Amino acid sequence: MTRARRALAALATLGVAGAAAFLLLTRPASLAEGAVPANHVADLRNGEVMYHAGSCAACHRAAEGGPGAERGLPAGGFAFPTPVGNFYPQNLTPDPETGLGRWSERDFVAAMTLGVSPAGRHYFPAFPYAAYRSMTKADLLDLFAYLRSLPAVKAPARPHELPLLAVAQRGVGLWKRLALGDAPWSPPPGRSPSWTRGAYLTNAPGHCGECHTPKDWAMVADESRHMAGGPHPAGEGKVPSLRGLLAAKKYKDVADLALALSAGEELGYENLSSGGMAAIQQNLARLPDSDLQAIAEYLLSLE
Amino acid sequence: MKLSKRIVAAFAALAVAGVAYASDAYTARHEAMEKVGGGMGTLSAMAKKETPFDAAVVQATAKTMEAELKKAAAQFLPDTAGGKSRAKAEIWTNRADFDAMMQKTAEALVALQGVKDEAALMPALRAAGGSCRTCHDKYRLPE
Ligand code: HEC
Ligand code: HEC
Ligand code: HEC
Repeated sequence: MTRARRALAALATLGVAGAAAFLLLTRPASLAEGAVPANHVADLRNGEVMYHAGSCAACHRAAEGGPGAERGLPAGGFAFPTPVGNFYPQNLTPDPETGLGRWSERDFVAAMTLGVSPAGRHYFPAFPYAAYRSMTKADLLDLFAYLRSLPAVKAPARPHELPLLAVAQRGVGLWKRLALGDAPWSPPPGRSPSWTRGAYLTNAPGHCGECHTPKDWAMVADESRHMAGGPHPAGEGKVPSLRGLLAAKKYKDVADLALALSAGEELGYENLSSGGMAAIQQNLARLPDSDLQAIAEYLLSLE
Repeated sequence: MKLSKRIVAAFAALAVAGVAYASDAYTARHEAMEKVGGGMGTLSAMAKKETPFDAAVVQATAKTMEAELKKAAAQFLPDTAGGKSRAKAEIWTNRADFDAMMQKTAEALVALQGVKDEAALMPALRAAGGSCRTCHDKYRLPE
Protein backbone atom coordinates (compact mmCIF):
# COMPACT_ATOMS: atom_id res chain seq x y z
CA MET A 1 0.00 0.00 0.00
CA THR A 2 1.25 3.49 -0.75
CA ARG A 3 1.35 6.04 2.02
CA ALA A 4 -1.61 7.88 0.67
CA ARG A 5 -3.63 4.69 0.50
CA ARG A 6 -2.65 3.75 4.03
CA ALA A 7 -3.68 7.17 5.32
CA LEU A 8 -7.01 6.84 3.55
CA ALA A 9 -7.61 3.40 5.00
CA ALA A 10 -6.80 4.70 8.49
CA LEU A 11 -9.20 7.57 8.02
CA ALA A 12 -11.91 5.24 6.77
CA THR A 13 -11.45 3.01 9.84
CA LEU A 14 -11.66 6.05 12.08
CA GLY A 15 -14.77 7.18 10.22
CA VAL A 16 -16.44 3.83 10.73
CA ALA A 17 -15.44 3.77 14.40
CA GLY A 18 -16.69 7.35 14.80
CA ALA A 19 -19.99 6.53 13.16
CA ALA A 20 -20.36 3.43 15.32
CA ALA A 21 -19.60 5.44 18.46
CA PHE A 22 -22.08 8.09 17.34
CA LEU A 23 -24.78 5.49 16.80
CA LEU A 24 -24.02 3.85 20.15
CA LEU A 25 -23.98 7.16 22.04
CA THR A 26 -27.20 8.30 20.40
CA ARG A 27 -29.14 5.03 20.75
CA PRO A 28 -32.65 5.66 22.09
CA ALA A 29 -33.04 4.35 25.64
CA SER A 30 -35.91 2.14 26.72
CA LEU A 31 -37.79 1.92 30.00
CA ALA A 32 -36.58 -0.53 32.67
CA GLU A 33 -38.79 -3.48 33.57
CA GLY A 34 -41.20 -2.46 36.32
CA ALA A 35 -40.77 1.27 35.58
CA VAL A 36 -44.54 1.55 35.17
CA PRO A 37 -46.51 0.41 38.22
CA ALA A 38 -49.11 -2.24 37.33
CA ASN A 39 -52.79 -1.83 38.33
CA HIS A 40 -52.67 1.93 38.88
CA VAL A 41 -56.14 3.22 39.70
CA ALA A 42 -56.43 6.44 37.74
CA ASP A 43 -57.65 9.70 39.30
CA LEU A 44 -59.07 11.67 36.37
CA ARG A 45 -59.43 14.87 38.39
CA ASN A 46 -55.72 14.79 39.19
CA GLY A 47 -54.98 13.96 35.54
CA GLU A 48 -56.83 17.09 34.50
CA VAL A 49 -54.83 19.20 36.99
CA MET A 50 -51.60 17.79 35.50
CA TYR A 51 -52.87 18.54 31.99
CA HIS A 52 -53.39 22.21 32.84
CA ALA A 53 -50.26 22.49 35.01
CA GLY A 54 -48.26 21.11 32.05
CA SER A 55 -49.96 23.45 29.56
CA CYS A 56 -50.21 20.53 27.12
CA ALA A 57 -52.89 22.42 25.20
CA ALA A 58 -50.58 25.41 24.67
CA CYS A 59 -48.47 23.44 22.19
CA HIS A 60 -50.82 20.61 21.15
CA ARG A 61 -53.81 22.85 20.43
CA ALA A 62 -55.65 22.44 17.15
CA ALA A 63 -54.86 24.67 14.19
CA GLU A 64 -57.16 27.72 13.93
CA GLY A 65 -60.37 26.32 12.46
CA GLY A 66 -58.90 22.79 12.31
CA PRO A 67 -60.50 19.60 13.71
CA GLY A 68 -61.05 19.88 17.49
CA ALA A 69 -60.39 23.65 17.58
CA GLU A 70 -63.90 24.74 18.57
CA ARG A 71 -63.91 22.34 21.55
CA GLY A 72 -60.39 23.35 22.63
CA LEU A 73 -59.10 19.78 22.25
CA PRO A 74 -55.36 18.99 21.97
CA ALA A 75 -55.70 17.61 18.43
CA GLY A 76 -52.47 19.22 17.19
CA GLY A 77 -51.90 21.23 14.03
CA PHE A 78 -50.92 24.57 15.61
CA ALA A 79 -47.38 25.61 14.67
CA PHE A 80 -44.77 25.80 17.44
CA PRO A 81 -42.01 28.04 16.06
CA THR A 82 -38.35 27.62 17.04
CA PRO A 83 -35.17 29.09 15.51
CA VAL A 84 -34.55 25.76 13.70
CA GLY A 85 -38.01 25.58 12.13
CA ASN A 86 -41.68 24.97 12.87
CA PHE A 87 -42.83 21.98 14.91
CA TYR A 88 -46.37 20.64 14.70
CA PRO A 89 -46.96 18.89 18.06
CA GLN A 90 -49.12 15.81 17.43
CA ASN A 91 -52.71 14.86 18.26
CA LEU A 92 -53.05 13.84 21.94
CA THR A 93 -56.70 12.76 21.74
CA PRO A 94 -57.44 9.00 21.84
CA ASP A 95 -58.10 8.54 18.12
CA PRO A 96 -56.57 5.12 17.24
CA GLU A 97 -55.20 6.14 13.81
CA THR A 98 -54.01 9.71 14.36
CA GLY A 99 -53.83 10.11 18.15
CA LEU A 100 -52.78 8.17 21.25
CA GLY A 101 -55.58 5.55 20.95
CA ARG A 102 -53.24 2.60 20.52
CA TRP A 103 -50.63 3.74 23.03
CA SER A 104 -49.94 1.75 26.20
CA GLU A 105 -49.19 3.33 29.57
CA ARG A 106 -45.62 2.23 28.99
CA ASP A 107 -45.43 4.06 25.65
CA PHE A 108 -46.69 7.22 27.30
CA VAL A 109 -44.29 7.07 30.25
CA ALA A 110 -41.36 6.42 27.87
CA ALA A 111 -42.33 9.46 25.77
CA MET A 112 -42.72 11.73 28.81
CA THR A 113 -39.63 10.62 30.72
CA LEU A 114 -37.12 9.47 28.08
CA GLY A 115 -38.33 11.43 25.07
CA VAL A 116 -38.56 8.23 23.02
CA SER A 117 -41.45 7.29 20.71
CA PRO A 118 -43.14 3.86 20.66
CA ALA A 119 -41.13 3.14 17.47
CA GLY A 120 -37.88 4.07 19.25
CA ARG A 121 -37.28 7.50 17.75
CA HIS A 122 -35.86 10.43 19.76
CA TYR A 123 -38.34 13.25 20.22
CA PHE A 124 -36.93 16.73 19.77
CA PRO A 125 -36.52 18.60 23.06
CA ALA A 126 -39.03 21.22 21.90
CA PHE A 127 -41.29 18.66 23.63
CA PRO A 128 -40.28 19.54 27.22
CA TYR A 129 -39.70 16.00 28.50
CA ALA A 130 -36.53 17.25 30.26
CA ALA A 131 -39.01 18.73 32.78
CA TYR A 132 -41.86 16.20 32.51
CA ARG A 133 -39.49 13.34 33.39
CA SER A 134 -39.51 14.71 36.96
CA MET A 135 -43.26 14.06 37.32
CA THR A 136 -44.29 11.18 39.57
CA LYS A 137 -45.41 7.96 37.90
CA ALA A 138 -48.84 8.31 39.51
CA ASP A 139 -49.28 11.82 38.05
CA LEU A 140 -48.15 10.62 34.60
CA LEU A 141 -50.59 7.70 34.62
CA ASP A 142 -53.44 9.97 35.79
CA LEU A 143 -52.57 12.39 33.00
CA PHE A 144 -52.60 9.58 30.44
CA ALA A 145 -56.00 8.39 31.72
CA TYR A 146 -57.31 11.95 31.44
CA LEU A 147 -56.09 12.25 27.82
CA ARG A 148 -57.81 8.91 27.06
CA SER A 149 -61.06 10.27 28.51
CA LEU A 150 -61.17 13.16 25.99
CA PRO A 151 -63.29 12.88 22.83
CA ALA A 152 -61.27 11.33 19.98
CA VAL A 153 -60.51 13.69 17.08
CA LYS A 154 -59.25 12.48 13.71
CA ALA A 155 -56.37 14.81 12.89
CA PRO A 156 -53.28 13.38 11.18
CA ALA A 157 -50.04 14.97 12.36
CA ARG A 158 -48.55 17.57 10.07
CA PRO A 159 -44.83 16.89 9.43
CA HIS A 160 -42.43 19.23 11.24
CA GLU A 161 -40.81 21.82 8.98
CA LEU A 162 -37.16 21.27 9.90
CA PRO A 163 -34.28 21.28 7.51
CA LEU A 164 -31.77 18.44 8.22
CA LEU A 165 -34.47 16.51 10.07
CA ALA A 166 -32.85 13.07 9.99
CA VAL A 167 -29.35 14.13 11.13
CA ALA A 168 -30.77 16.38 13.83
CA GLN A 169 -32.99 13.59 15.08
CA ARG A 170 -30.10 11.27 15.88
CA GLY A 171 -28.09 14.19 17.28
CA VAL A 172 -30.79 14.57 19.92
CA GLY A 173 -29.35 11.40 21.42
CA LEU A 174 -26.09 13.26 22.18
CA TRP A 175 -27.98 16.21 23.66
CA LYS A 176 -29.89 13.84 25.94
CA ARG A 177 -26.61 12.52 27.40
CA LEU A 178 -25.92 16.05 28.65
CA ALA A 179 -29.44 17.20 29.45
CA LEU A 180 -30.89 14.02 30.96
CA GLY A 181 -27.66 12.71 32.44
CA ASP A 182 -28.45 13.63 36.03
CA ALA A 183 -31.28 12.15 38.06
CA PRO A 184 -34.66 13.81 37.52
CA TRP A 185 -35.37 16.86 39.69
CA SER A 186 -37.06 16.23 43.02
CA PRO A 187 -38.17 18.73 45.66
CA PRO A 188 -35.63 19.38 48.43
CA PRO A 189 -36.78 18.05 51.83
CA GLY A 190 -37.74 20.06 54.88
CA ARG A 191 -40.03 22.71 53.38
CA SER A 192 -43.74 23.29 53.99
CA PRO A 193 -46.23 21.11 52.07
CA SER A 194 -47.46 24.05 49.99
CA TRP A 195 -43.93 25.26 49.09
CA THR A 196 -43.05 21.68 48.10
CA ARG A 197 -46.21 21.40 46.00
CA GLY A 198 -45.41 24.73 44.32
CA ALA A 199 -41.82 23.70 43.59
CA TYR A 200 -43.05 20.44 42.06
CA LEU A 201 -45.73 22.07 39.91
CA THR A 202 -43.28 24.73 38.69
CA ASN A 203 -40.34 22.48 37.90
CA ALA A 204 -41.94 19.18 36.81
CA PRO A 205 -45.26 19.57 34.94
CA GLY A 206 -45.07 23.38 34.75
CA HIS A 207 -41.74 23.30 32.81
CA CYS A 208 -41.39 27.03 33.64
CA GLY A 209 -37.59 26.74 33.41
CA GLU A 210 -37.85 25.86 29.71
CA CYS A 211 -38.15 29.60 29.13
CA HIS A 212 -37.23 31.24 32.45
CA THR A 213 -33.92 29.37 33.04
CA PRO A 214 -31.19 30.37 30.56
CA LYS A 215 -29.44 27.65 28.55
CA ASP A 216 -25.71 26.96 28.28
CA TRP A 217 -23.66 26.43 25.07
CA ALA A 218 -25.12 22.93 24.61
CA MET A 219 -28.71 24.16 24.95
CA VAL A 220 -28.96 22.53 28.37
CA ALA A 221 -30.65 24.47 31.19
CA ASP A 222 -28.02 26.23 33.33
CA GLU A 223 -29.35 25.38 36.78
CA SER A 224 -26.83 27.70 38.46
CA ARG A 225 -29.06 30.44 37.02
CA HIS A 226 -32.37 28.73 37.84
CA MET A 227 -35.30 30.95 36.71
CA ALA A 228 -32.96 33.92 36.27
CA GLY A 229 -34.35 34.81 32.81
CA GLY A 230 -32.49 35.19 29.54
CA PRO A 231 -32.90 35.20 25.78
CA HIS A 232 -36.26 33.89 24.57
CA PRO A 233 -35.93 30.34 23.20
CA ALA A 234 -37.98 31.25 20.10
CA GLY A 235 -35.23 33.70 19.11
CA GLU A 236 -36.65 37.23 19.61
CA GLY A 237 -36.75 39.22 22.84
CA LYS A 238 -36.06 38.20 26.42
CA VAL A 239 -37.75 36.17 29.14
CA PRO A 240 -37.91 37.96 32.51
CA SER A 241 -36.28 36.62 35.66
CA LEU A 242 -38.59 35.06 38.25
CA ARG A 243 -36.05 35.64 41.04
CA GLY A 244 -36.43 38.53 43.41
CA LEU A 245 -39.96 39.43 42.28
CA LEU A 246 -40.79 40.71 45.79
CA ALA A 247 -37.64 42.81 46.12
CA ALA A 248 -38.32 44.32 42.69
CA LYS A 249 -41.84 45.16 43.98
CA LYS A 250 -43.43 43.44 40.99
CA TYR A 251 -45.96 41.66 43.22
CA LYS A 252 -47.10 42.59 46.72
CA ASP A 253 -47.42 39.12 48.21
CA VAL A 254 -48.35 35.50 47.52
CA ALA A 255 -52.04 36.33 47.04
CA ASP A 256 -51.17 39.06 44.51
CA LEU A 257 -48.95 36.77 42.40
CA ALA A 258 -51.51 33.95 42.59
CA LEU A 259 -54.14 36.37 41.26
CA ALA A 260 -51.73 37.49 38.52
CA LEU A 261 -51.26 33.86 37.43
CA SER A 262 -54.98 33.25 37.42
CA ALA A 263 -56.20 36.47 35.74
CA GLY A 264 -53.15 37.69 33.81
CA GLU A 265 -53.83 40.81 31.79
CA GLU A 266 -57.60 40.53 32.37
CA LEU A 267 -56.83 42.33 35.63
CA GLY A 268 -54.03 44.47 34.26
CA TYR A 269 -51.07 42.15 35.02
CA GLU A 270 -49.43 43.27 31.84
CA ASN A 271 -46.19 41.24 31.97
CA LEU A 272 -47.85 37.86 31.44
CA SER A 273 -49.02 38.19 27.84
CA SER A 274 -46.22 38.04 25.27
CA GLY A 275 -43.67 35.47 24.15
CA GLY A 276 -45.88 32.44 24.81
CA MET A 277 -46.69 33.38 28.43
CA ALA A 278 -50.37 34.10 27.67
CA ALA A 279 -51.06 30.47 26.80
CA ILE A 280 -49.25 29.27 29.95
CA GLN A 281 -51.16 31.76 32.12
CA GLN A 282 -54.50 30.70 30.63
CA ASN A 283 -53.70 27.05 31.36
CA LEU A 284 -52.61 27.88 34.92
CA ALA A 285 -55.89 29.77 35.36
CA ARG A 286 -57.64 26.40 35.36
CA LEU A 287 -55.73 25.06 38.39
CA PRO A 288 -57.33 24.92 41.84
CA ASP A 289 -56.66 28.06 43.86
CA SER A 290 -54.54 26.16 46.40
CA ASP A 291 -52.16 25.14 43.57
CA LEU A 292 -51.83 28.71 42.32
CA GLN A 293 -51.06 29.86 45.85
CA ALA A 294 -48.44 27.10 46.11
CA ILE A 295 -46.74 28.13 42.85
CA ALA A 296 -46.76 31.77 43.96
CA GLU A 297 -45.30 30.86 47.37
CA TYR A 298 -42.48 28.92 45.71
CA LEU A 299 -41.70 31.64 43.14
CA LEU A 300 -41.59 34.40 45.74
CA SER A 301 -39.11 32.34 47.76
CA LEU A 302 -36.58 32.57 44.89
CA GLU A 303 -34.28 35.44 45.78
CA MET B 1 -22.37 72.80 -3.33
CA LYS B 2 -21.27 70.37 -5.98
CA LEU B 3 -23.96 68.12 -7.39
CA SER B 4 -22.49 64.97 -5.84
CA LYS B 5 -22.33 66.66 -2.42
CA ARG B 6 -25.89 67.80 -2.78
CA ILE B 7 -27.02 64.27 -3.58
CA VAL B 8 -25.20 62.88 -0.56
CA ALA B 9 -26.73 65.55 1.65
CA ALA B 10 -30.19 64.77 0.31
CA PHE B 11 -29.74 61.06 1.04
CA ALA B 12 -28.47 61.79 4.53
CA ALA B 13 -31.49 63.99 5.22
CA LEU B 14 -33.80 61.26 3.97
CA ALA B 15 -32.12 58.66 6.16
CA VAL B 16 -32.39 60.88 9.23
CA ALA B 17 -36.02 61.60 8.39
CA GLY B 18 -36.62 57.85 8.10
CA VAL B 19 -35.17 57.19 11.53
CA ALA B 20 -37.15 60.09 12.99
CA TYR B 21 -40.34 58.77 11.39
CA ALA B 22 -39.83 55.32 12.92
CA SER B 23 -38.89 56.62 16.35
CA ASP B 24 -41.70 59.22 16.41
CA ALA B 25 -44.25 56.53 15.63
CA TYR B 26 -42.73 54.24 18.25
CA THR B 27 -42.64 56.96 20.93
CA ALA B 28 -46.20 58.06 20.19
CA ARG B 29 -47.71 54.60 20.38
CA HIS B 30 -45.56 53.61 23.34
CA GLU B 31 -46.75 56.63 25.33
CA ALA B 32 -50.37 56.05 24.34
CA MET B 33 -50.20 52.34 25.25
CA GLU B 34 -48.65 53.21 28.62
CA LYS B 35 -51.67 55.46 29.30
CA VAL B 36 -54.04 52.64 28.35
CA GLY B 37 -52.08 50.46 30.79
CA GLY B 38 -52.35 53.15 33.48
CA GLY B 39 -56.14 53.17 33.15
CA MET B 40 -56.15 49.42 33.46
CA GLY B 41 -54.24 49.78 36.76
CA THR B 42 -56.77 52.27 38.15
CA LEU B 43 -59.73 50.08 37.26
CA SER B 44 -58.24 46.80 38.40
CA ALA B 45 -57.48 48.35 41.81
CA MET B 46 -61.17 49.22 41.97
CA ALA B 47 -62.29 45.77 40.82
CA LYS B 48 -60.05 44.22 43.49
CA LYS B 49 -61.73 46.54 46.03
CA GLU B 50 -58.45 48.24 46.91
CA THR B 51 -60.17 51.55 46.07
CA PRO B 52 -63.89 52.38 46.43
CA PHE B 53 -66.23 51.86 43.48
CA ASP B 54 -67.11 55.07 41.62
CA ALA B 55 -69.12 54.82 38.39
CA ALA B 56 -68.01 58.30 37.26
CA VAL B 57 -64.32 57.34 37.57
CA VAL B 58 -64.96 54.10 35.66
CA GLN B 59 -66.63 56.00 32.87
CA ALA B 60 -63.97 58.69 32.58
CA THR B 61 -61.07 56.23 32.83
CA ALA B 62 -62.48 53.85 30.23
CA LYS B 63 -63.15 56.78 27.92
CA THR B 64 -59.54 57.96 28.15
CA MET B 65 -58.36 54.38 27.57
CA GLU B 66 -60.48 54.16 24.43
CA ALA B 67 -59.09 57.44 23.09
CA GLU B 68 -55.47 56.51 23.88
CA LEU B 69 -55.88 53.05 22.32
CA LYS B 70 -57.12 54.68 19.12
CA LYS B 71 -54.13 57.06 19.18
CA ALA B 72 -51.79 54.11 19.56
CA ALA B 73 -53.56 52.19 16.79
CA ALA B 74 -52.96 55.07 14.37
CA GLN B 75 -49.20 54.96 15.03
CA PHE B 76 -48.48 51.46 13.70
CA LEU B 77 -47.13 52.97 10.50
CA PRO B 78 -45.38 50.75 7.92
CA ASP B 79 -41.69 49.97 8.60
CA THR B 80 -41.68 51.10 12.21
CA ALA B 81 -40.79 47.78 13.85
CA GLY B 82 -37.30 47.05 15.21
CA GLY B 83 -35.09 49.00 17.61
CA LYS B 84 -36.71 49.46 21.00
CA SER B 85 -40.12 48.58 19.62
CA ARG B 86 -41.81 45.39 20.73
CA ALA B 87 -44.10 45.35 17.69
CA LYS B 88 -43.91 42.08 15.73
CA ALA B 89 -43.35 42.25 11.99
CA GLU B 90 -46.52 40.14 11.53
CA ILE B 91 -48.60 43.25 12.31
CA TRP B 92 -47.85 44.46 8.81
CA THR B 93 -48.44 41.11 7.10
CA ASN B 94 -51.75 40.47 8.97
CA ARG B 95 -52.94 44.03 9.08
CA ALA B 96 -56.68 43.26 8.83
CA ASP B 97 -56.51 40.85 11.78
CA PHE B 98 -54.53 43.37 13.86
CA ASP B 99 -56.99 46.18 13.09
CA ALA B 100 -59.95 43.92 13.93
CA MET B 101 -58.39 43.22 17.35
CA MET B 102 -57.97 46.96 17.96
CA GLN B 103 -61.61 47.47 17.02
CA LYS B 104 -62.81 44.67 19.31
CA THR B 105 -60.80 46.07 22.21
CA ALA B 106 -62.17 49.58 21.62
CA GLU B 107 -65.70 48.11 21.75
CA ALA B 108 -64.92 46.36 25.03
CA LEU B 109 -63.71 49.72 26.41
CA VAL B 110 -66.97 51.34 25.29
CA ALA B 111 -68.91 48.62 27.15
CA LEU B 112 -66.75 49.32 30.20
CA GLN B 113 -67.81 52.99 30.13
CA GLY B 114 -71.40 51.86 30.67
CA VAL B 115 -70.71 50.08 33.98
CA LYS B 116 -73.10 51.47 36.62
CA ASP B 117 -72.72 49.10 39.57
CA GLU B 118 -69.87 47.36 41.33
CA ALA B 119 -70.93 43.82 40.38
CA ALA B 120 -70.72 44.64 36.67
CA LEU B 121 -67.18 46.05 36.86
CA MET B 122 -65.24 42.80 37.24
CA PRO B 123 -66.71 40.97 34.20
CA ALA B 124 -66.53 44.06 31.94
CA LEU B 125 -62.93 44.77 32.95
CA ARG B 126 -61.86 41.16 32.45
CA ALA B 127 -63.43 41.11 29.00
CA ALA B 128 -61.53 44.27 27.99
CA GLY B 129 -58.27 43.09 29.57
CA GLY B 130 -58.61 39.70 27.88
CA SER B 131 -58.67 41.38 24.50
CA CYS B 132 -55.47 43.33 25.31
CA ARG B 133 -53.91 39.93 26.09
CA THR B 134 -55.04 38.39 22.79
CA CYS B 135 -53.18 41.05 20.83
CA HIS B 136 -50.09 41.17 23.07
CA ASP B 137 -49.88 37.38 22.74
CA LYS B 138 -49.94 37.46 18.97
CA TYR B 139 -48.38 40.78 17.98
CA ARG B 140 -46.12 41.99 20.80
CA LEU B 141 -42.62 40.66 21.45
CA PRO B 142 -41.44 39.96 24.98
CA GLU B 143 -39.25 42.82 26.27
C1 HEC C 1 -43.51 23.60 24.53
C2 HEC C 1 -44.38 22.82 23.68
C3 HEC C 1 -44.95 21.51 24.21
C4 HEC C 1 -45.67 21.33 25.38
C5 HEC C 1 -46.01 22.34 26.45
C6 HEC C 1 -46.07 19.95 25.35
N1 HEC C 1 -45.61 19.32 24.22
FE1 HEC C 1 -45.94 17.40 23.72
N2 HEC C 1 -44.76 17.65 22.08
C7 HEC C 1 -44.21 18.83 21.66
C8 HEC C 1 -43.50 18.62 20.41
C9 HEC C 1 -42.75 19.68 19.62
C10 HEC C 1 -43.65 17.25 20.10
C11 HEC C 1 -43.08 16.54 18.88
C12 HEC C 1 -41.67 16.07 19.14
C13 HEC C 1 -41.12 15.28 17.97
O1 HEC C 1 -41.90 14.87 17.09
O2 HEC C 1 -39.90 15.05 17.92
C14 HEC C 1 -44.45 16.67 21.17
C15 HEC C 1 -44.80 15.33 21.23
C16 HEC C 1 -45.56 14.77 22.24
C17 HEC C 1 -45.92 13.37 22.29
C18 HEC C 1 -45.61 12.32 21.24
C19 HEC C 1 -46.78 12.25 20.28
C20 HEC C 1 -46.64 11.26 19.16
O3 HEC C 1 -47.65 11.09 18.46
O4 HEC C 1 -45.56 10.70 18.95
C21 HEC C 1 -46.67 13.19 23.44
C22 HEC C 1 -47.29 11.90 23.94
C23 HEC C 1 -46.75 14.48 24.08
N3 HEC C 1 -46.07 15.42 23.34
C24 HEC C 1 -47.44 14.70 25.26
C25 HEC C 1 -47.51 15.93 25.89
C26 HEC C 1 -48.21 16.15 27.15
C27 HEC C 1 -49.01 15.09 27.90
C28 HEC C 1 -48.02 17.45 27.47
C29 HEC C 1 -48.46 18.20 28.72
C30 HEC C 1 -48.07 17.62 29.98
C31 HEC C 1 -47.22 18.05 26.40
N4 HEC C 1 -46.94 17.10 25.46
C32 HEC C 1 -46.82 19.37 26.36
C33 HEC C 1 -44.30 20.04 22.29
C34 HEC C 1 -44.93 20.25 23.51
C1 HEC D 1 -42.89 29.76 26.43
C2 HEC D 1 -41.98 30.34 27.37
C3 HEC D 1 -42.46 30.48 28.81
C4 HEC D 1 -42.83 29.49 29.68
C5 HEC D 1 -42.88 27.99 29.43
C6 HEC D 1 -43.15 30.15 30.91
N1 HEC D 1 -42.98 31.51 30.79
FE1 HEC D 1 -43.43 32.92 32.20
N2 HEC D 1 -42.95 34.39 30.90
C7 HEC D 1 -42.49 34.20 29.62
C8 HEC D 1 -42.35 35.50 28.98
C9 HEC D 1 -41.83 35.74 27.57
C10 HEC D 1 -42.74 36.46 29.92
C11 HEC D 1 -42.84 37.99 29.70
C12 HEC D 1 -44.19 38.29 29.06
C13 HEC D 1 -44.50 39.73 28.77
O1 HEC D 1 -43.62 40.58 28.96
O2 HEC D 1 -45.64 40.02 28.33
C14 HEC D 1 -43.11 35.72 31.12
C15 HEC D 1 -43.53 36.34 32.30
C16 HEC D 1 -43.83 35.66 33.46
C17 HEC D 1 -44.16 36.30 34.72
C18 HEC D 1 -44.21 37.79 34.97
C19 HEC D 1 -42.87 38.26 35.45
C20 HEC D 1 -42.83 39.72 35.80
O3 HEC D 1 -41.74 40.30 35.69
O4 HEC D 1 -43.85 40.27 36.21
C21 HEC D 1 -44.39 35.29 35.62
C22 HEC D 1 -44.78 35.47 37.09
C23 HEC D 1 -44.20 34.04 34.94
N3 HEC D 1 -43.85 34.30 33.63
C24 HEC D 1 -44.38 32.81 35.53
C25 HEC D 1 -44.26 31.60 34.84
C26 HEC D 1 -44.59 30.32 35.41
C27 HEC D 1 -45.07 30.08 36.83
C28 HEC D 1 -44.38 29.39 34.43
C29 HEC D 1 -44.58 27.89 34.49
C30 HEC D 1 -45.88 27.42 34.92
C31 HEC D 1 -43.92 30.10 33.24
N4 HEC D 1 -43.86 31.45 33.53
C32 HEC D 1 -43.59 29.49 32.05
C33 HEC D 1 -42.23 33.00 29.00
C34 HEC D 1 -42.55 31.75 29.52
C1 HEC E 1 -54.36 44.99 18.37
C2 HEC E 1 -53.18 44.93 19.20
C3 HEC E 1 -53.15 45.54 20.59
C4 HEC E 1 -54.19 45.76 21.47
C5 HEC E 1 -55.67 45.42 21.29
C6 HEC E 1 -53.61 46.31 22.66
N1 HEC E 1 -52.26 46.47 22.52
FE1 HEC E 1 -50.98 47.18 23.92
N2 HEC E 1 -49.42 46.90 22.63
C7 HEC E 1 -49.51 46.38 21.35
C8 HEC E 1 -48.21 46.37 20.73
C9 HEC E 1 -47.89 45.84 19.33
C10 HEC E 1 -47.31 46.90 21.69
C11 HEC E 1 -45.80 47.15 21.48
C12 HEC E 1 -45.63 48.48 20.79
C13 HEC E 1 -44.20 48.80 20.45
O1 HEC E 1 -43.30 48.55 21.30
O2 HEC E 1 -43.95 49.30 19.36
C14 HEC E 1 -48.10 47.20 22.88
C15 HEC E 1 -47.58 47.73 24.07
C16 HEC E 1 -48.32 47.92 25.23
C17 HEC E 1 -47.76 48.32 26.50
C18 HEC E 1 -46.29 48.48 26.82
C19 HEC E 1 -45.77 49.75 26.41
C20 HEC E 1 -44.46 49.47 25.76
O3 HEC E 1 -44.24 50.09 24.71
O4 HEC E 1 -43.67 48.65 26.26
C21 HEC E 1 -48.80 48.46 27.38
C22 HEC E 1 -48.71 48.88 28.85
C23 HEC E 1 -50.00 48.12 26.67
N3 HEC E 1 -49.68 47.78 25.36
C24 HEC E 1 -51.27 48.12 27.23
C25 HEC E 1 -52.41 47.73 26.57
C26 HEC E 1 -53.72 47.60 27.20
C27 HEC E 1 -54.02 47.82 28.67
C28 HEC E 1 -54.58 47.19 26.21
C29 HEC E 1 -56.07 46.87 26.33
C30 HEC E 1 -56.93 47.84 26.87
C31 HEC E 1 -53.81 47.06 24.99
N4 HEC E 1 -52.51 47.40 25.23
C32 HEC E 1 -54.35 46.64 23.79
C33 HEC E 1 -50.66 45.94 20.74
C34 HEC E 1 -51.93 45.99 21.27
